[in-house]
Amino acid sequence: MIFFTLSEPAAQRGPAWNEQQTERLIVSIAGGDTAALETLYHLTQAPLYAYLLSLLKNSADARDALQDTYLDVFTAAGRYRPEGHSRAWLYAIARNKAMMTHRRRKIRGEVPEEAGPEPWEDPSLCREERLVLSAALQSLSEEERQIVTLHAVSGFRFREVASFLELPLNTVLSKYHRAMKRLRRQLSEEEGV
Amino acid sequence: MKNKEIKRWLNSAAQKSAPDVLGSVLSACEQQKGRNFVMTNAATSESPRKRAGIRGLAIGLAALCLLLVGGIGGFLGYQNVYAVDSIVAFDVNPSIRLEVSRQEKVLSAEPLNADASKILFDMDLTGTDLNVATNAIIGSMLRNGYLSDIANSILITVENGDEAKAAALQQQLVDEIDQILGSNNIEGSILSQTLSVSDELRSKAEACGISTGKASLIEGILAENTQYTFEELAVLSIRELNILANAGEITTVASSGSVSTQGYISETEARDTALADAGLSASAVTVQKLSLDWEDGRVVYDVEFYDQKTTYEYEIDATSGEIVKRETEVSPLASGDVIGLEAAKEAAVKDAGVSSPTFTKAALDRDDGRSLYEIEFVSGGTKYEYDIDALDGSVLSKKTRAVSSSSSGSGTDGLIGEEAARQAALTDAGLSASDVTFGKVELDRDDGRWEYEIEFYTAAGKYEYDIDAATGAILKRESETAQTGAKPSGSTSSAPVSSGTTSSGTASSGTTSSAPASSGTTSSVSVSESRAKELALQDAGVDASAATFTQLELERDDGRWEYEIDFYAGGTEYEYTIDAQSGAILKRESDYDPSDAPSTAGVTVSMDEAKALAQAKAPNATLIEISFDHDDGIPIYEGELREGKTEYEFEIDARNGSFLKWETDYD
Repeated sequence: MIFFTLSEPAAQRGPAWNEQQTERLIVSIAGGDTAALETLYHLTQAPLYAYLLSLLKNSADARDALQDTYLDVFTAAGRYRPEGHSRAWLYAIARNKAMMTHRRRKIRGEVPEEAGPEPWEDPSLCREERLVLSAALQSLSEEERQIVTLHAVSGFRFREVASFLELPLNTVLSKYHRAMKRLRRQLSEEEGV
Repeated sequence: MKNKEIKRWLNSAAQKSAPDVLGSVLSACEQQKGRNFVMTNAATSESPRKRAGIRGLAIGLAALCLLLVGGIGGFLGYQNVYAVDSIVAFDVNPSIRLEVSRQEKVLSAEPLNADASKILFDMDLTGTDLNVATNAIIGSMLRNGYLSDIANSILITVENGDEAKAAALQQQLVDEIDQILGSNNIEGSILSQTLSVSDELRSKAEACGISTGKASLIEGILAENTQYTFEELAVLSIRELNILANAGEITTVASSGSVSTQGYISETEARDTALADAGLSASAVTVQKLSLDWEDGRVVYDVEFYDQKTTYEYEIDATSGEIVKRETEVSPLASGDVIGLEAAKEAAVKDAGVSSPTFTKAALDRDDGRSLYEIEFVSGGTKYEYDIDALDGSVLSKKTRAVSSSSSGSGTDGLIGEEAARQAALTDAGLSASDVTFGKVELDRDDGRWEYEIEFYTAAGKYEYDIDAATGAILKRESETAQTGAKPSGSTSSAPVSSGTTSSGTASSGTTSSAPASSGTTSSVSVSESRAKELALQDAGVDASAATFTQLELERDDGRWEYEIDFYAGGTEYEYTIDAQSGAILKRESDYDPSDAPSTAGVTVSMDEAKALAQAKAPNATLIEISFDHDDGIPIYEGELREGKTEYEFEIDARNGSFLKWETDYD
């Protein structure tokens, strides 16, 4: 029985990551346990999708990559070494999937914009969610989008973002602050309209 | 829009727009499995996928062997040792059912709800003595925060055909649990009962996904009090039921100890205070919410109820009983005839296509001028959240997520233990155990090490610590207090709890949020920036010369001006929020990691000098923000000044003080 709503820290930095539980799930998945995969999916799907969206900027592509990511998790789980880096492992798989999508598009000369409505046009989103999502996807660079999503949605600490993106911590911090500032400014302009 | 809101909207956008690809993933996995198997049989290549297949097969065979051994052993011994003699159930919020043999060996341990799965996650209790199992279960409930100073209620139910034996076992368990709780400094409130279960009760219990013990307790309460329904009570925790049971005179349940109030007024008192204020009687309203919460720097009861016309929302200070917030809005009953809670639950469950869900929330609410039922339940490891139109029963929105489960397990040898971790946190905060109420004590693995995550509350604030579980070192401290001045002191009584919040609709004296809500001026800033820095450094016990400031920002949040001050010192990252009017420390956070320190190589200009350089260019402007950064490897200070509608942005080379950027902007 938990009485206190764990308000700010959790809400501000995405969901808490339970390393131990995740590693146990990956071990089960390695043994072919699809129920464990299902649990992992429910725990990670939303922030992982957000990360893929930050890389691909396209709902249909992100959806495909999300599906491929979990399929890869299923086949690659046996090769995971439980050393306390399950989140980075999972997100690295997702990043690979997104890169493959980029490469495929390049080879085939496809234009991703043809794939459907923009992510922020999702009818289930409320006004603020649309504004924020569209600002994040349109006014930030790919690197900034990754930093913001990994920290603010996926709950990576700054130093985890830094090591995942292989950037110096200072760079991550300053880029994050700058990106948030830009978002703030743009959103207050739009709110004023 | 503030950073906090941006993050919140981003998170909710992700939640809402993430597509459901689980079905296709799972079916693809099934195909994959088939392929793996074929490849193993063919045994031609040396691909990694093949090896995974062999491993999967090996595990399968091992599991089959175990099953056979277990089956044979179980069958041979069944007649004498393995016959179920008693059924013992523990209900807190986790509900666990044990089958126990005549020799008091546990034959099976079954989690009855999601919380219980968490408790039993990696425990194999089969074959253990009942007292060992009891110890393990209660221990896990303590570790996971289900049992604590506040949440001290537990219901023990024993079913045995032999009444005398059941009674003896009941007493034995009560004594045992009382002792375990006592050794954890918790005065338990133990409800216990013996039971012979009717089929009717069993099916009712099953329908609501609760134990027969809890069902029986509910029946007992209903016998005394007709204002509730069985289903309404089924979603309550044992603590809440315990309070109801205490209010009436339940004869079927034995009770030892009392429900913890830990210096707080009771829920009933909070409810009655709110009702009296609204001029209503309990029978005239439906109580929607009655729970402890943490709001604006104090522990409050959230009390919410509605009659035909109006919904009342109160916050009652849990310590003083004072009303700190009252709000009214149109009642969800005002827009017409509602379909009723049961019909709404049914609609949600039907839509989810699940059977025997455990309801965690079922409430009538009003949102955007619409009456709706918020229905939440758990089934098969998934939590469902529904909004059901209260007038026509249609599904307005739905959301599913996996119920996270965590537990501590192997590999935790050599840890300092929970008690030592608690003590480390308390010592750091300058508090003693009697000053605080623990909200959470959890062992978790993070960054490859074990950490205790500890939360506790005083009348003055909330504290969060991460303690290295091997060394006892403090890895993170965070606190939000309503107190002014430096570090929180041990005395909770001297804290000005009533300041800084609205009080009964009249302006209370000494509020910290007196800045005009609509104005964008900084006229209500009375603490200078250097004073704010001083306060933060003083609080952190860091010498100014040792600190590298990375962020200094004057920001408006919740209607008041705050300084956001970040700095590094000695491998620790500090984040402070300081009230710009009163100088109160609103938030402090520190995170230890030696690799975090920013490089200051080549820096000859201090942040203060950079500020002076910028200020010299616009003497009448107010410095809003300055931060230390690296841009393309060059250490820089960047920041912003404001003068009326004019905004200046600058970047200064931290190596020589030259301006890399000076921009003037008119809003």
